[in-house]
Order: sequence, then C-alpha cells, then structure tokens
Amino acid sequence: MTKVTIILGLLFVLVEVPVRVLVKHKHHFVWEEIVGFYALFGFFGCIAISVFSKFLSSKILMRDEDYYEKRYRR
Amino acid sequence: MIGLLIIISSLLIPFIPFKLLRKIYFLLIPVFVFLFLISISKGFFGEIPIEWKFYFLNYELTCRIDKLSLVFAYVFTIIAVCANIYSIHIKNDLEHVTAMIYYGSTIGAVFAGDLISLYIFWKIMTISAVFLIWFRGTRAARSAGFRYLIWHVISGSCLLAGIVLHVQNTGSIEFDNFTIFMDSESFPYLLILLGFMINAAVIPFHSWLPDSYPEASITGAIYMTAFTTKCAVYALARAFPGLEILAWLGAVMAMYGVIFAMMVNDGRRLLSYHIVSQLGYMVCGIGLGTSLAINGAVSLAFGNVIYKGLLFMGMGAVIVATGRSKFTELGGLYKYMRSTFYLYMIGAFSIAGFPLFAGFVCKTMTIHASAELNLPIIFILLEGAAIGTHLCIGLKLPWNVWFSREKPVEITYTGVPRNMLVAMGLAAFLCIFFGTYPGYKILYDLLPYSVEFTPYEPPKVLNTLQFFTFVSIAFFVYREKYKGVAATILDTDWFGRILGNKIIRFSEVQLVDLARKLDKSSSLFARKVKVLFTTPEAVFKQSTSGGRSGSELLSSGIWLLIVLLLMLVYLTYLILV
Repeated sequence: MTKVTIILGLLFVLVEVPVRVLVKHKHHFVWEEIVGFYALFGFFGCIAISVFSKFLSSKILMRDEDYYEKRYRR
Repeated sequence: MIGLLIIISSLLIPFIPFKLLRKIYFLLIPVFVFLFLISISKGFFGEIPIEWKFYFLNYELTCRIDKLSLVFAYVFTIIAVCANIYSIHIKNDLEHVTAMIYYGSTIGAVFAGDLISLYIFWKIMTISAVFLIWFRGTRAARSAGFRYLIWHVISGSCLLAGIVLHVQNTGSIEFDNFTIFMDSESFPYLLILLGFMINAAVIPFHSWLPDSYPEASITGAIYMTAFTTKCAVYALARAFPGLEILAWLGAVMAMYGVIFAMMVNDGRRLLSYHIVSQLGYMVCGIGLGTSLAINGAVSLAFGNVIYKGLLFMGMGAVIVATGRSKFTELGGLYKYMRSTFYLYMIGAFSIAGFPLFAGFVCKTMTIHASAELNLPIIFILLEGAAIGTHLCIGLKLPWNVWFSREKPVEITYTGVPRNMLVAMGLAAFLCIFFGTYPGYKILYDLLPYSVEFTPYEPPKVLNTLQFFTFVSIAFFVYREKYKGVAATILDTDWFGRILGNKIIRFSEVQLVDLARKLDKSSSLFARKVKVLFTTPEAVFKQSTSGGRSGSELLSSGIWLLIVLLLMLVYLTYLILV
C-alpha cells in the first residue's frame, strides 16, 4: 500500500510538467509556480499538523478519560 | 407555512393504524416535500422568488421562497429521506415524530421571510433536537442534552433580544440583509449575529457541537448534523454576507476543528470536530462575500450535509453493530463490516475533496474565491485544513476502526440492520452523483448566483491528486503514531463546565457563609443602635462600670454618628451643587 502510493505520488508530480506546458492556468500566488508544490505542502503540512496537535494535546489539553465525571461528583 | 404543514403531519404519525402504514407514511413525508419543491422550481406556483403573506396579530408574516432558501430546503429534504430510511427500524414512534418536527421546523426557518416566524421555528428546532439527544438514553446523553439546551437557549435569547430591539428601532420585521456599522444603532444586529454564530458553532461558541453530537442517539445524530448548523449558515448567508470578521473566524475555525479532531478518541467526536471545520469553510465563504464565495459556501453546505450524513451513518452503524465508538476499543472490523467500510470511504473521499466526489466540486469554490481575492493567509488555512480532513477522516478513522489490529478485544458483533445500509448506499450514490457530470451542473444551477466555474481543470485535478497521495504517504509512514489515545481533550467548554461549576460552588458555600456573617453582624449592629436610641443612659451607666458591652455600644454609637455626618455632608453637597 505504502509503495503504491509513493509511486502514484511521484507519477502525479512528473505528469505535472507536461501539463504545465500544455494547459494555460492562471496562478494566484507565487508559490504555485513551483512544480509539485501541492505534494510538498501536503506532506509537510500533514507532519506539521500532526506534531502540533500531538504537542497541544500532550502538553496542555489532555486529561484523564473521566475528567469531567470526577469533577461533578460531590 | 410548509414547515408548519410538515410539523402537523408529523404529529399524526402515532395515530396511524398499522405498523407498516405508519412506516410508509413516515418515509413519504420528506418525499412529498421533495416533489413539492420540484414543482416550485418548475414554476407551478409562479415565478421564483415567491412570497406568501399571512396575518398574525398585527404583523404580516411572509413565507419567502427564493433561490438561496430553495437550495437549502432541497438538501434538507434529501438528507431527511436518507435519515428516515436509516432510522425506519426504530420502534419508538416518538423518535420519528421528534425527528420530523425537527425537519419541519428547519424547513420553516429556511422559508421564513420575517423575523417572528424565524424565531419561532428556531426555538422548535432547538427543543426537538434536545429530545433527539435524550433518546440515546444514557447518562452522558442526558447531561450533554442539558448543555446543548443551555447554549441554544442563550442563542435563542440573543436572537429574540436582537429582533425586539430591531423591530422597536425600525418597525419592520423583514428578515433580510443587515449591515453592521460600529455604532449603537447596530447593536441589535450584533445580538442577532451572536445568536446565529452560536448556532453555526463559530469559535469560541462551538463547544456544544463536539460535546453533544457524539452522545446523541444513533439515528437522531444524522438529522442533527444536517439541520441546526446549516440552517444557521443559511441565516448568516441571508443576513450578513460580506462581514469581514466572519472570513477570518471561518478560516481559523476550519483549522481549529481539524487540529482538535486529531486528538480525540471517539469516532463520532472526531467527525463532529470536522463539522466545525467544514462550517469554517462556509462561514469564511460568507465572510468573503463575493458571489463566487457565497456560492461556494452554499454548495459546500449542500455537499456537506450529504457526505457528513453518510459518515455519521457509517460510524453509527459501527456503534450499532459493536456497541463501541472509541478507537482504543475498536480495530480489525474489516472482516465483519466490509460494506460499511466501503460506503464510509465514499463519504471520506467526498469530504476530503477527492476528484469525482461531491466535495471536490463544492470545496474548491470557496478556496478559489479566497485566491481570487488575493488573501494568502486564508488560502493557506483553508488548504491546510483540507490536509487534516483527509488525514483524520480518510485515513486515521478508518485505519483505527477497520484495521490497526488483527481482531478487536472481545467483540460481540450483532450485524447492521439492512435499512441502514440502504440509506448509506443512497447517500453514497448522491455523493458520487453530485461529483460527476450531470450532477454538479444540477448543483451549480441551484446556487443563488450564476457564476462560471469549472472544477475539472487538469492542473487543479492534478494538484489535488498530488496533495492526496502525499498526505497518504506521510500517514502510512508514521501510522503507528496515529493510534487513538484514551483521554478527555479540554476545549472551550472547560470554562463553562469547570470554571462555571467552581463559581456555583463558591456561591453556594463561601458566598453564603459571607452573607450569613454579614447578616449576623448587621443585626447585631441594629440591636446596638436600638439600645442607643431607646436607653442612652445605659451606655454611660455601663461604660462607667467598665462593662465590655458598654464600650461596644459606645463605638457603635460613634460609627452611627459618622454615618449620619457623612449623610449630612452628602445632602448639603446635593443642595449646594
């Protein structure tokens, strides 16, 4: 599964080069000029979100599973 | 008007004789509404927009049917058909009645052309939704229902206060575009905006949503995911298009929901946080305010109702079959629930915006609008939220539920009712239908503005495909790190639940103590004053004898003198100035 997705992903990046030449597409931002920008964005964005949410949950927001139930008991 | 008819017809459900007839009747209510809506679109009732007027007290109520309200009515009806099929096996008729009242009130609110009927339907919606939560019957559902009620009563009160002030200021009850300026004139609009924002789960007022939806009844949750929040999106699109703060709140909200969804352990809670995230896209589109952005928000609401319903149905089927919803207790269900898995994945691909599925034609519009307006930060936030959406719904949840282990611990698999699978099949079909050729044209024709937008351009499709494969690669490489962790994640409801609880405790114990002490000392003081006035000689008598109470009396007398003097000074000040 992992290998198949890696091959597919690289294929999509390679296909982008001829598509860029053949199809005119209006770019809104500078970074869209980079070939394979969305691949990079997806990969590193995924890691960034995961790391950030892991940090947030483990350092600040995580509590025991019965946190609220325990607090309500008198 | 139409809403009222649906509510009345739903009240008849328990009185219909045979069980089979009752079920057929229940299934047919939204189907009839759907046919009615089609006949409206075809122009049997005159040209759109249509306005029907009624008189109530001294006000003229209107039932307004235009393109914006019609598209929402369509999607609510479609999901009501699916959800009715999904819940047909439930034996409790009251649950069906409540669900249909909920549906009717939502349709009523969408077609309300004036603020009074909007408010009434808004309230019916809240109350029926609370009962749908309570039908789950668990302790957690009961308390979550109460918290839901508190939030929505606040929202309804804000709305009512805003409406009353607005009617007092202007005398008109028409529900239309309100413009907010920063002055005292627009205070009622701020209240109305707050009411809508609570219902649309805009941060920081979103906490009721991931709190109550996972606790709601399995079938009731499908209605809930569709109606309340999307109705609020409709109201925002009607009243406050182009309000800039909504664009920023929406973009932040899209990211916020995604990040919180990463942390939670409960399947339906993860999906609930994704509702917050998807609502972020819609709110952002409304805030951007161009016709393309509003179209994007509306079409996303349309698609989101269908595929989010499908996802909740899938997770609901898992709960029905196994009795569990936590990632730490699930896993390895692929052997048992293969069809549920595939249907769920269609929903997952749709919400993530994979080409050929409904999400792709809906979601790209809003993101494209932010690019057209040249807003890079909003663009990055929305695209980044798309990463998280695919990561959580398309990869993390299915991996944790259907794979991740060879076999779940001590599972008792009871099977999924067939009607649930049929409903999911219908919703999955619609997801693909609206994502491919004739479907998305139909969807785009329904949108309020006519805008030329072609989703299937080769570069766009290619970018999306790259995006998806690389997010998947990142997941597959680190997949062991995405296992569920049993924990409670704090959110903004902490302020209400813990801080609020502490404040109540403080008022019950410390504050009451303080009041009791004050009470005691003031009555003591009064008694002393009384003694001073009635028998002043006692003071001196006792003071000469050196008694303790005598000196106390003397001091209280001095205090009284000071108070009197102060009053005198104040009085003279009042007279002189």
